[in-house]
Amino acid sequence: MINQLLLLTIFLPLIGAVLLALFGRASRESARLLALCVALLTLWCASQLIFNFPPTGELTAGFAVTDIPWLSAVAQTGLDIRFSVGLDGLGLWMFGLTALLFVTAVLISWEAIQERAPLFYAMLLLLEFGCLGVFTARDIILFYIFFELTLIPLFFLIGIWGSEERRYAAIKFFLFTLSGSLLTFLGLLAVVIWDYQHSGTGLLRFSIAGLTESLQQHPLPVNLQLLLFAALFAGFAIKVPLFPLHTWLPLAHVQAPAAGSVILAGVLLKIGVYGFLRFSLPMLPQATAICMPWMLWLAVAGIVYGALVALAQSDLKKLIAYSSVSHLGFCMLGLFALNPTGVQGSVLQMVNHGISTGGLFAIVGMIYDRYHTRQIADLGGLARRAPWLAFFMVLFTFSSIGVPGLNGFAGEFLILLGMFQRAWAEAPAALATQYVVIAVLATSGVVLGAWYMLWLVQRVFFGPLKEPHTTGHNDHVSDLSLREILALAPLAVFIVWIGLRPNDFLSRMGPSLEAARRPAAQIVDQARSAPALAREPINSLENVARAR
Amino acid sequence: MNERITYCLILIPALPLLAAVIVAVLGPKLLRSLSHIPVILGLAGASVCSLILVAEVLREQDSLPTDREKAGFEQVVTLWTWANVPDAYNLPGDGATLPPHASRDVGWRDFRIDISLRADALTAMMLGMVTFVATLVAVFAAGYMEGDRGYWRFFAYIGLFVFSMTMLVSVSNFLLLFVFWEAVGVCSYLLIGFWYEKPEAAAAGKKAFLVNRVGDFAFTVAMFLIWCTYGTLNYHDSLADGTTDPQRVVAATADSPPEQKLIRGVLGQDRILAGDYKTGWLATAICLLLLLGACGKSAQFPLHVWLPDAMEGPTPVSALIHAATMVTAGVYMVARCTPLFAASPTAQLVVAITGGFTALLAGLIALTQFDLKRILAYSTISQLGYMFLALGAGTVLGVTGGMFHLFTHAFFKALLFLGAGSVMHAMGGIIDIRQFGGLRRLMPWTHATFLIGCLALSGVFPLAGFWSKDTVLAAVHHNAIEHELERRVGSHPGHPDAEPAAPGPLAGWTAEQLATARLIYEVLYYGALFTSFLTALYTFRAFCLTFYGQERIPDQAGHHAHESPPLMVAPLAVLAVCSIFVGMAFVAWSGSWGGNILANFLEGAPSLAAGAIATTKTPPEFHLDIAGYSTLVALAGILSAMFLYMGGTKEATVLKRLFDLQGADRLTDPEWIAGLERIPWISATTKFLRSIYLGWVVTLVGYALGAGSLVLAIPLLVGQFISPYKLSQNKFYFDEIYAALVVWPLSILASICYWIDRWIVDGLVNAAGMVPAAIGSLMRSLQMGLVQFYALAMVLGALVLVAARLIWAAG
Amino acid sequence: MNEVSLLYNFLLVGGLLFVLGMIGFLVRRNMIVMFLCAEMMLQGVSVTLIGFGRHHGGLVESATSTAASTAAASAGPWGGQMLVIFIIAVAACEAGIAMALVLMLYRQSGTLDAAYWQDLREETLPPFVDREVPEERQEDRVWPRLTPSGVEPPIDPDELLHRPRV
Repeated sequence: MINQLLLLTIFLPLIGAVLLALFGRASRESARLLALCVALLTLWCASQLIFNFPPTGELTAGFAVTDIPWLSAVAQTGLDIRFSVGLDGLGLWMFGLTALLFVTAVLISWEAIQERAPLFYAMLLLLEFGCLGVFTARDIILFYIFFELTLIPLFFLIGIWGSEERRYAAIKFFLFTLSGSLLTFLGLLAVVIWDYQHSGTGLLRFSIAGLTESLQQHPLPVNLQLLLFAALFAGFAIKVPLFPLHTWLPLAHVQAPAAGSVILAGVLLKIGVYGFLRFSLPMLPQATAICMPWMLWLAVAGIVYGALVALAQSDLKKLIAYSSVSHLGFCMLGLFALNPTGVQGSVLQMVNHGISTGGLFAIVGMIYDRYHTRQIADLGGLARRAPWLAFFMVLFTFSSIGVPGLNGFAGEFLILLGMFQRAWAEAPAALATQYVVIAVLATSGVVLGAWYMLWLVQRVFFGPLKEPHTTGHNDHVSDLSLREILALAPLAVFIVWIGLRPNDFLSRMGPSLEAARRPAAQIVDQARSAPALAREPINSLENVARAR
Repeated sequence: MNERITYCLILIPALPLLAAVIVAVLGPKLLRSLSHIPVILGLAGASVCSLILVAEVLREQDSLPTDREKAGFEQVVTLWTWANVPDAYNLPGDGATLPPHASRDVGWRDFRIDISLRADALTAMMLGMVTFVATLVAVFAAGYMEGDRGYWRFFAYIGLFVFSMTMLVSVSNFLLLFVFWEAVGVCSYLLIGFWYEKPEAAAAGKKAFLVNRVGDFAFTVAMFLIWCTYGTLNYHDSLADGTTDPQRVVAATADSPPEQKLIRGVLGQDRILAGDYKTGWLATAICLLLLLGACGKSAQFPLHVWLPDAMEGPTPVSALIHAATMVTAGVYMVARCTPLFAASPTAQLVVAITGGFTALLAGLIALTQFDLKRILAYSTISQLGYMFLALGAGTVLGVTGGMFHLFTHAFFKALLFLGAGSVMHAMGGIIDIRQFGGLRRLMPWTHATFLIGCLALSGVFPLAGFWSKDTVLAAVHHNAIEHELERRVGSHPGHPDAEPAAPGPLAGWTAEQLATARLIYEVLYYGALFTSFLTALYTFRAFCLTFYGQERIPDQAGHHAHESPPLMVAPLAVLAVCSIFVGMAFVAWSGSWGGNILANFLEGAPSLAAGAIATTKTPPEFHLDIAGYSTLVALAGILSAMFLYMGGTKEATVLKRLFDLQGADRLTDPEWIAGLERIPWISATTKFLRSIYLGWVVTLVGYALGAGSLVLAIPLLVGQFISPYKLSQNKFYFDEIYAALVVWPLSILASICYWIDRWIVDGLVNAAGMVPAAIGSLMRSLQMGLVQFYALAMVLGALVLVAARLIWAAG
Repeated sequence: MNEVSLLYNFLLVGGLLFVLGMIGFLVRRNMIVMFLCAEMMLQGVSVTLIGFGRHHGGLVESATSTAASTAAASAGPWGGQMLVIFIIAVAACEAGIAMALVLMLYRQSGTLDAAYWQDLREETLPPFVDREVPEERQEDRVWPRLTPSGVEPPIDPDELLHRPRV
């Protein structure tokens, strides 16, 4: 029953997209209503799955697994591609977040999309299908199919319903991401072929769980691991986006329609981190351990660089796009600290960032709906005109900068604690200083984050009222309608819930994350020297007295 | 487990939170101008509960069995688990060098944070003070904010703020402290920028939050260090599964099962009794980082720049947050972490220096400000400096003295701020003292209460400020270094019942280090005395210029120019009564002149009851000499202020003339030098020499400092080039310095990074994208459109293939 | 040996035809002539086929039994000739189609010049233009003049040599 529910949840958006495409000449109203119903139904199914997930996260055989032979020709050639989906701790919360964010996306496109609306919603639902599939796929080919499937609808979303330079942005985004993911595919195929040649099962199998287990028993040689790590890095790092490969993101975000930005920031970027977590860490532990310092440096560079560039922006969407670069730097930092706290903080922060930045982009979409401008210089004092908009903006800003009591803090603190612990107590002597510098720089990222976000809020929402003259009907600009509040309210609820009780979310992820992180962490932990400070005897007063 | 304490602990934060939620939900449509009722009721309820809590804690402390008395009283209540990451960190053991009971405390730790509240003397005192002052401020605000568009929003924020503040002092965990530390910062941001349409207010709110964030950055790193060093962020001792029941905690041994292992809290009774604190540079680093965090919150140098700007918020906000509660969070935290600081006397010295320096700095700035609220803001910074100075003295008297000063300061500073609010309300929003004057007949109640507040602030006997300031000065004078020196010589003569003190953390210091430290404390003591003079001076300057002189009422006052309504005057009266009697009452009820029931109460808290700090406990005595000096200094300040500013003349800038050192030239220059002085480098050199000369003159007069007089030359040197008056009025240009050193380079760096991102990083990507197009353009020249050309190409290709095949076959 | 030299002759002729055809195709611009040259290439290939067929046809019994050689074996010595029949048939069809195409192109452009059709050229490249051809001389056309009616025309004495009556 649960298994079928997962299948249903994944395929519902596809069915919805097909229906929309079939009845394509239907009116805008019926199209968006159908899309909303499908999204809500998917959300309800996803929430049922999450409620039934074991609260301690202990999984014996996987949860809601469907495992059907698909393109298998086992007898003849040993090819064993299966249609295999299931939920585990790694993808659980992203699965739920996807379902939630698409409801928001549909709601904020309600009025904004005027032409070719049925096609728009069909593309959106197709995108949801792809995203849901990515987080639940347990087979490499299936994963890759869904991975690429997320690109195509977004290409159309940006290219057709975007802003001035939408064609260029769509093409650049598509080609950049695609070129990386092709290299990733090559890497994954190499893993599969290695397993075929060395595992002795005679099966050309693509099952992720099976491959992970087999690679832990017969690890790849280190050189090959490094090469494959680089191949996987190409695709996933572009998706994340990790520091030097991030330039597609601001362009794509600025040119995308509001719903596209919400999904791009909220879900698609996390696929990159998820890919590292699912493939690079468990399957290539030695390469992960060797590349750890480089990845950490890239992550912290992303944090600081993203924050600095955000400070210099004059376009609202671009600023939030660069803040995404900064926040995903935090996720990568926590992931590659290879600590229980770091890794759990990283996955929690993935969810947090999805909620808060998704909300921020939704608000930017609402501002654009009213004023048709994204330039910060054109806007000011909007809290006077739209106080509820300002309230949500301030709430999401605080969530984004990691104010304690809200969700961002839980993730950020765990990540930074994990990094610092790695630097102070669990690092080999040669790298300890570097890691401490990384930890301190990353912590300074919280100051920078507060700076640019609060400055943004101050310029746009506070101060005297300033509106662009182009609209000419500023008096009719209204505060949030019920639909818009409904789009943002669930996000606000989760912001507070995760902030007050993050353990509800951490406990379900714990065992799966431990299993994913352990191979690489063991190698790194073995290499560490005894931390110099901890070996000092505690200079308690009694010791001092005894010594005299 | 005392049930009443549990209920009180939960109710005290819950009532303001409930009130805030009610106002937030029902306020806009339903309650509107009645929004103050839930909040005032909630705060009053919390206040009553906190009084009950104080009584219960007192009772529990008095009824402790004598062997547990050494450890003080605390009770911890756990609500739910915030986060739990199993097996997060392996706290290393130290092998055989550990005493046996401490070996329970090593091995794998879960990163476990429970929402746990604690009740001990320190918490109870803070709760009582915070809720009481908050109630009074809320009553005042109901009158002050009447008619404001955001009335309900204001009270919702107030409720939220009081919730955060009460939780801040109640929680038993560093991370939760940080949570509510930032939460009060958020509430402060919201309240400072309450009138968000004013650009200055919005900017001030952002500045406050950012400067606090810098302090929070330091606090965060301190927390990481604490976690890595002590393996837990809890204050209290607990077991690995979260139990805090004292009997079960004590019963844990090295052989207990993993979920029953003891986790010794950083400030827990077990650790304090054993004295297991790391010393050395690690302890100093942790303490200095904690101090930096406290400086951010409590507006000490170098993070003091946000507090004066925060006066853009409504006056009740300034009274509540920036006088009595939020800024005291830093002092509370340092007092709470006394065992950590006691392990590092260097850090304590730095705390004292920070406090003393900030007190002096703020006092100097307050002398020349014209905005009444800004004067009070700098006064707050200065008094907070006193509290840090006391905490940095390193003795139990210092900590209790600092907390005592915190307590009394809350009352009289809130009184002064509310009085300023009353004046501002009457003057139609004007708070510049140059624009009004002589208001004593117009606003008699405000005048009387403000006078009481000023007297209390200046430390005049027998008002509250006198007792607390006296304790602070006494603590600085008889600081831990003095104790150490006495211990090395022998026990203090004249107190036959005093036992020789056990060796403390200063045991490792050499005599030269002790002498240097002692000198520093002496300088700080005299600095504190001078600051008392300045305090009295600027306070009464403000008082005289506002209430005395010719009666002037600005035009903006309109019909507001009358005494405030009773709703606003009543809190003033209550606070005035407190300011008069609180200090005296504490001292009188203790039974001896030097005693203080508040200090006795606080000494029952675990942080102060045992450990290294407890070795510095001295029997209470009243220091008549210190009391005498401070009274003398205060009276001097009051009289000077009255001389300069009272009497019907517009003397707001009289100090300008005094301190421009214009006349100093004539002491040293004959006529013929004046001609040469027009050449700039000669003028600079003579000013430099003149200042050295003046420095020596002052030295000869003051003899005691000897060669240190060159230090005095520095301010005189600076004064030759810039008028000290101008320096003081422009807040020593700190804002400009920070803008140039921090803000401007960062924005330049941001622009550079953006440029790099657009042209270099993205340029590389675009270049990679142009490669296929470039290759293609080479190929394109082959397409001529002529059939015969294509046919030729085919033929040539076929020839190449044939040739290749022949070569391959031949080779 | 004799067979091989005979084969050489066939190949020579065939090759000559092929090369001539190829050069002609590449050089000439008249579409019909280009087509004729293409046909000539085909005929050259046919000649070589006949030669090879005759050459290999006698060697059937020494070949191995693969699928290709059994097909050749079933054709006996006439394999090459059979293929030539095929080629002629295909060439005929191709001729029909080619002529149809040439006809349509002529109708569109009024010329049989293959270099006229350059529309698929890259936009950035310049068009192929012939060298300047000299202007056609406008010769004075001489129109016959009729004699006015009723008058017998003058008789040309040369014509009387050829015909009895003029």
